[in-house]
Amino acid sequence: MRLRTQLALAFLLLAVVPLLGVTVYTYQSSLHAYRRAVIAEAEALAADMSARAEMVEDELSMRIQRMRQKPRRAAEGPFETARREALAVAEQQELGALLRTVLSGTERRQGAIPFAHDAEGRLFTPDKQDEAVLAGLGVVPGQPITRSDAADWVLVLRPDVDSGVVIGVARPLGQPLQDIRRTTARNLALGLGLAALALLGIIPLSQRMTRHLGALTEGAERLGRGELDVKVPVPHSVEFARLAETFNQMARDLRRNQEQLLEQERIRKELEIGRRIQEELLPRAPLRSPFAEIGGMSIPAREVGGDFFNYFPLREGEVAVLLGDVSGKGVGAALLMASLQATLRARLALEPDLAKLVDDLDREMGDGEPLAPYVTLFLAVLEGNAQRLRYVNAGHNTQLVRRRDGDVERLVSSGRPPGLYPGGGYAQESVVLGEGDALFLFTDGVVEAEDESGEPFGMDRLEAVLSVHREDDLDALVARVHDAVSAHRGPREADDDATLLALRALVHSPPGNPV
Amino acid sequence: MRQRSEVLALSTRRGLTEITPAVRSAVREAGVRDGLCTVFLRHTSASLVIQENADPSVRHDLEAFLSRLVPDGHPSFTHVAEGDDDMSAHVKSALLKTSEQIPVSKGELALGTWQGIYVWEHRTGSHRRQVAIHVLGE
Repeated sequence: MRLRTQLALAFLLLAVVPLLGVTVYTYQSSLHAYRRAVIAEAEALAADMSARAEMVEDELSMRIQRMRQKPRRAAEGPFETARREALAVAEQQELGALLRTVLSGTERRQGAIPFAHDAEGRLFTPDKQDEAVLAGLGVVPGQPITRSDAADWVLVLRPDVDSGVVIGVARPLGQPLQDIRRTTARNLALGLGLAALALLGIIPLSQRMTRHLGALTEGAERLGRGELDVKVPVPHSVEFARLAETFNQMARDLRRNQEQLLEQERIRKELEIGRRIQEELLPRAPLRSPFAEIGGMSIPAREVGGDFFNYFPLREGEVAVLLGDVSGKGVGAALLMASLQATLRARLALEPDLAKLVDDLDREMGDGEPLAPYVTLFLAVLEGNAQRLRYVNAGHNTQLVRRRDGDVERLVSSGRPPGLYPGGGYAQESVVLGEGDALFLFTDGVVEAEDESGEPFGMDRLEAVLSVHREDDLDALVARVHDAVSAHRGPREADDDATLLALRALVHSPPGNPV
Repeated sequence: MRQRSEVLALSTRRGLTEITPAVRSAVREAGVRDGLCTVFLRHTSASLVIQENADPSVRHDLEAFLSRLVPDGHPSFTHVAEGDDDMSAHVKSALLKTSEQIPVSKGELALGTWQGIYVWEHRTGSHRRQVAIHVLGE
């Protein structure tokens, strides 16, 4: 059932039903009081009649008595019998005449009908017409009185035990009853009219309430459909205002949460795309040339870092190796990585001077805005025929060459990270790599991997691992380092990507090496 | 006139280690057509020489001869703190040379057919050595 209907029904229950109750009660009690007054009045009249009738009767009795007393002696003769009958008839006639006199002497106030009903069932009324009315009240000539109440008549009876005469008054409630009924009806109509007016007043009130509810319902439905910018109007009514404000607050919170979720999702997606680009850029398989074998691995961390590495054949007998770390993360970093690799790949074929190549890169990257990303880079070219590895360490960690005998050499940076503060310049250096010597490249994620107490893995441990496992092949060497870093880190999750790359020179000593 | 310099790092053991290909590569990179290449060893217990590159026995004999000439742990040495092979290595280095100058012609080192550039390590253990390469020309 609609709220509006419910409100109207509640109003009816609270207003109309008591009104009806009060009206009926008032009517009944007025009627009762009036009837009692009429009865009292009729009784007074009947009593008056009765008193006069008694007087008349007494007088009649005395006369009859005198008439009867005269012929005492001849008491038993036909004459006497006829005289007695005549006396009885006369007595009856006398009584009737007396009663008629009493009745006619009675004032007929307010339409009252005085009557008498004697032991023989004769009915005496002031007017013959009244008999019909009295018959309706159960007073019928020749029959004992059977009292039958009529709604608008009052019947008062005073029986006289001695004579068997019943003196009565029938009195109509008459015009005042009509007045009472009319007044009651008018009062009821007035009450109902007022109730109807009040109902008219309630309708807009309930409409207002249902309108607020309707607005809230519509708002909730829109919210359900995903329209998070929904806002319901705040009404003046305190309760509805609170409800509406609470609803609006809820919608705002939902919207904010949704936006946060979307933002997180966007960042997650961007990082995911970044990671995918990054993975796509990594070489798919180890490289094996006549002079060297190269392999690497990236150990992903909770957060995507900017590590990258690559290796590819260049000119005849030459292999390029690059490894670096781009500042920032996500798609931007991944795209920078991709463009850096493409640039390096294209220019390495044309520019043999690595220092100049990286210097150009440094200047080009630094051309942009002040907060442009930068990169730490280790770039090297192995000349297989010459057993010479030329390299530029541009702001990257110190990298390592592990000699066949286990000694470790450090290849330190000769300049700033390209793109950070351009123009510092770089130096190309070179190192002779003999059979069994290995170049080991890595990013800061390796040496900065911390154990539970916060101590980093460090260069010394790395050098020790490389030195001890000098007999291992390339894959085993990378795996050893990875295992050592993992063991050091323990259960702690990696904060940063760690990238490892190893190059092992394969060329047998040309004639002229140590004897 | 252009010039270019570079430091070449290498690992050595007692004996001769050839660096000719690395130097040749550095010269090519310098892009000098005609000029001079200086190769300079930055140490005092090793030497830099040009020697025959064909028969390994030559280098074997050279090493044997020089070691007989300047034996390790000679009683007369007072600088013994770094081992028996240290003072003898200094003497050998002093007797030999630490740099070579090689003409650059048509962008290439003008070495003879059997000539090779060698770092001659005099110490017995493995050592890290640096060779400065400077190319000047046009």
